[in-house]
Amino acid sequence: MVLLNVDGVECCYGSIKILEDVSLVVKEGDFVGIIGPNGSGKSTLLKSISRTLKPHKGTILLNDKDIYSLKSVDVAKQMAVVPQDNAVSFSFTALEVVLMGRSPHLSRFEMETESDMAIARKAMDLTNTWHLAERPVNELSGGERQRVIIARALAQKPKILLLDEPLTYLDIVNQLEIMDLVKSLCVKEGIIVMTAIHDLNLAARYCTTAILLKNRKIFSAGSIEEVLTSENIKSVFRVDAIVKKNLVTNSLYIIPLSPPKSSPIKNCAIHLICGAGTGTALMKILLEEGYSVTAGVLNVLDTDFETAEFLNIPVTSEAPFSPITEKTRKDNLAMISKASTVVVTSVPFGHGNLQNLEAAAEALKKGISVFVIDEVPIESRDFTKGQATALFEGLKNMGAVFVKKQDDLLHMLNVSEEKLKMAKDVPPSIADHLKAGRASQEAR
Amino acid sequence: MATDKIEYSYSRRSSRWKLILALLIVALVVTIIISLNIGYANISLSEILDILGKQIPFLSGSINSASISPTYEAIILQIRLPRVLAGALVGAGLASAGVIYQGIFRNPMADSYVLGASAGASVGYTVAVLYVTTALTLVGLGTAQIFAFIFAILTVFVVYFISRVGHKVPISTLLLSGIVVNIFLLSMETLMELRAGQALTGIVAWLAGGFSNIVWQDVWGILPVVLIGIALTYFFTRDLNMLSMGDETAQHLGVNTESVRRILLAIGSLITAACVCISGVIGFVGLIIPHMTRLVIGPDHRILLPASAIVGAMFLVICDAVARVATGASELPVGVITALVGTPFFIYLLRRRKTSYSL
Amino acid sequence: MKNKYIIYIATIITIASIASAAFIYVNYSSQNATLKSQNSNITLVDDEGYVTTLTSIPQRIVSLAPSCTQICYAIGVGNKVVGVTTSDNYPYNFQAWIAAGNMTSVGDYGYPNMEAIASLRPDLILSDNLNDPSLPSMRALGYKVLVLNPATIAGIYQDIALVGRATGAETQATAVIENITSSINAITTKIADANITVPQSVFYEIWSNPLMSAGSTTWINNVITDAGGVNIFANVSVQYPDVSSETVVALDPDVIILPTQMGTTPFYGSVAQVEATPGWNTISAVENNRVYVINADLFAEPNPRVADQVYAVAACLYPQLFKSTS
Repeated sequence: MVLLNVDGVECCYGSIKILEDVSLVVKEGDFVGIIGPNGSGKSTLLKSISRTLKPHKGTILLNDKDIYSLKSVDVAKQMAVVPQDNAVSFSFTALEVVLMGRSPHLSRFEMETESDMAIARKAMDLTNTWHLAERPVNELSGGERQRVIIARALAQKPKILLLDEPLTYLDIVNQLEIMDLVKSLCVKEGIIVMTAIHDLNLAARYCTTAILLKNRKIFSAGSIEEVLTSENIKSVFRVDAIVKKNLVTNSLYIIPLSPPKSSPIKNCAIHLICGAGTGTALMKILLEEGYSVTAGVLNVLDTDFETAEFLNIPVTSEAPFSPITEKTRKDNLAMISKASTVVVTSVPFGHGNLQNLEAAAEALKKGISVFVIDEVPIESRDFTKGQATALFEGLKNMGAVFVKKQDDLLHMLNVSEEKLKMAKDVPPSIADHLKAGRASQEAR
Repeated sequence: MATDKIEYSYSRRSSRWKLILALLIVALVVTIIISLNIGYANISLSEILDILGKQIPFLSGSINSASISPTYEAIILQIRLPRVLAGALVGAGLASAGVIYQGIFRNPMADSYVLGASAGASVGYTVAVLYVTTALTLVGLGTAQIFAFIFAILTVFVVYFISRVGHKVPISTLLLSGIVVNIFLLSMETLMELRAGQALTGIVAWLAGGFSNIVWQDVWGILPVVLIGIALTYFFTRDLNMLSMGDETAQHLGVNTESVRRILLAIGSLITAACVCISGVIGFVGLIIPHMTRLVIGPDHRILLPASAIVGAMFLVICDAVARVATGASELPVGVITALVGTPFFIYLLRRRKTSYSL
Repeated sequence: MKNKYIIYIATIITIASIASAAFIYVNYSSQNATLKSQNSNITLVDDEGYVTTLTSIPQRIVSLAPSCTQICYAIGVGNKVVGVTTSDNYPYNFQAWIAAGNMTSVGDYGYPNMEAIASLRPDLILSDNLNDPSLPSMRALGYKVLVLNPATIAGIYQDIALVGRATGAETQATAVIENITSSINAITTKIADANITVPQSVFYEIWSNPLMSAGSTTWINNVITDAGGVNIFANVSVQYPDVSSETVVALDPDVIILPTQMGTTPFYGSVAQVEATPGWNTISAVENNRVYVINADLFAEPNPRVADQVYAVAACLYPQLFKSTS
């Protein structure tokens, strides 16, 4: 049973603290992801564990023995490190480099035996580097060299594997292969893996536990689900991100959103009548521009419905393949009445969503401005044998503003902003959106 | 199967290395005997072999002592043999020290003079010649040689200790300190040379490096240091392999980096000091022989160290032979010969490699 | 596996240590042996204080410096000299002898060749201090080496006497010394008789780049004094000091002496060039055209011709008393 116990570790460069009060416990089978922004101390933490940088304060215990009191050789038999940079200036062959991983297990004058060779061979097969065995390692590409170094670490047959940004030079196939490999070792042989990693999605996919560092201190530690939350990501990385569970990989995945532009929050609520993906981009843009957004009526399998869910935009929804019920229609109209503007996208109309056009007409009657994005001619997206086209004409006659392109819409919105009255409710910011959305999700 | 071939060839590595070393040793012995044939006095090879044979207990019976001229015997046994052996010893020592320094500093420009051993030895020698009147001897070495040795070692100590930061001695700091101390000592040396008067010729001749005045005492005096030094270094050759990949890498693979580096630097400096104190400052050997050997044999220090030592020995024996007879009774400085002989050969080796040069 | 290597290395170390110890013991104890037998031996102390013991009169002498060669020939043991340097040319054309195979060269002056010396089987080696770096090795090989390095004219006499004693030519040595002494006395007497109250101040330029002169611990200083002059650097204890152009101008010598034509190669410029040195036109010696050239060959080292050296300088200082010989 391997146990790594880090307690109250503090590291300094001169008088500057680069890691403060870090404590964690890692046991067999843990796949720990160390995440955090640049300069938060990820590499420092790994260096303090790998004995490269001795902490000023605190202890690191490996199976209850102070790791710094052990001999280098003894530590090397149990712990392997894959560093971030891997430049080599001597022309050792890849196989020679991997065989070096066996030296902690060899006595001073022993030459490598057949079993060492077999272990090296296996490590190189697993990392797909055996075909490079006789090539000088300084002639390999960055990615190939990185895999050789990983093979060397594996050849050490460690109980703990420390990796510092191991995927930097690897292409996507190699990234996944290596992570799969390391994960299988973790699962099958109980090897502890601790990796500093930038890619939050890979961390979410492979790590069982995570340590989130901020300003050289632990901000959050625990299971991957506990640590990787939108709030944490916002606090630490100052980026809005959507955290969802992907059903295919059965792991979290994170979609970071661009940092919000510093547009003034518009005192304006916009209701989108959309569907079939025509409103997705617009929803995001409008949110970024500072508008508060609602949408409806959308059926729950619709792409735009999904987007609205992601963005926590209030939606009036309907079951799929069903016509809009009376209740839904009324909810929609209620939502519209809270908005100051309605935007109709170039969504195809069928009998299922025809009532949305009628809702737009009602909005006009109430004095709410209606914009229609007419990118695709109505005739080609009218599946109601002309009824939608007729309603369209009706909207035109009632004073809806037709624009050809989405960009034109935004421009128009800016212009009419000055003319609009304040909406009844103060429009919330995106963060509030998210909070509100989450709250409503939990309420469901 | 190709993969089996790789594994097989690796497993045979140990015996392959032993074979290479055996061949190199034979080549060295042959070189020494041929070199004994070269010199001012015109002594035939058969007479040389007779003279040498007479020294070997079980062969001396079968050699006709009367046919050996006592003058020639004295020249071979008292002058030429110690000189050739000194050349071999110094060549082996400087090459080995070069291997150590290049491995530790991971720098192709490093040789064992970077930490100031040669500058220190020069200053020590000059101080002894100009200012020390008491005659000292220690294991057969004279005053000037003892001073050269002590100053060389002291200089490396000083460079090491001014580079310490806490418990570590960073490599870049070592190199910079070495440069600074070298410059300082060189200026002290120049100052003393300007005041040297008549002693200047002798000092300059010694600094240029050479084996003209070698006697047996010089050989015996440094033989233990050089041989033991090289043998001890062999203990650490696998560590050197890992050190040459980087300090952190070595430490992660279980090498006690600070300690090993300290030991190896001490050994390398002792060997260098010993060599320089009897032969002056001979350049090129410590820098280029490890490279040349590495180009042919590869970077694994377990074979690189002994091979470089033997190649260095052969190289310097050949160069000294050339220096001995190039211009009649006057001799050329051996450092000039090492550069003239070594440079073209090294360029040839460099160009023969298809890929771009790396260590 | 591990044990095998340790045994190899332990063996090497043991062999090396035992061998070194054995040799050093043998070497040093044999030296003690030679010192014990002191019966009919000549004990000599040379100019560096080294004690050498000769057990018989040397028959084969190697000279590593022209001054030593000249002393041997002066006291009549030149026929025993078997090896000279490539700079020797007095009292005979030794280089021609070497070319013809009648004499052996032992290397350039200052760079003696060990094998050449050994081939000559000398029983006495004479050297000056220029060959100091090679001395320990020569003595380690068992050769008897006497180092001659006189700082005064009296020192030259001592060296002549020393070589005389070493070669069994004491009477001849004494005669040579007397000869030289009386020649020099003749010069000093003549100067004294001429009632010269103020001796001429002399700048003796040994080398031009760097500008170098002779200090008080050289025989040159003596020569200048005996020739009735005063060396402007007589108060400098460094043997061959580098001096600055300015100092020479400030000390304003009456006479400047340039030794030139060393061997066959002139090593620096003419009188005109020296007089043209910036600032030197104000020196008395230059103003009065008292810049003289003398034969550097004669003056290259302290040698038995020192009387001629004194005469040559005197001829520069007091041309009215002494005719120049060049």
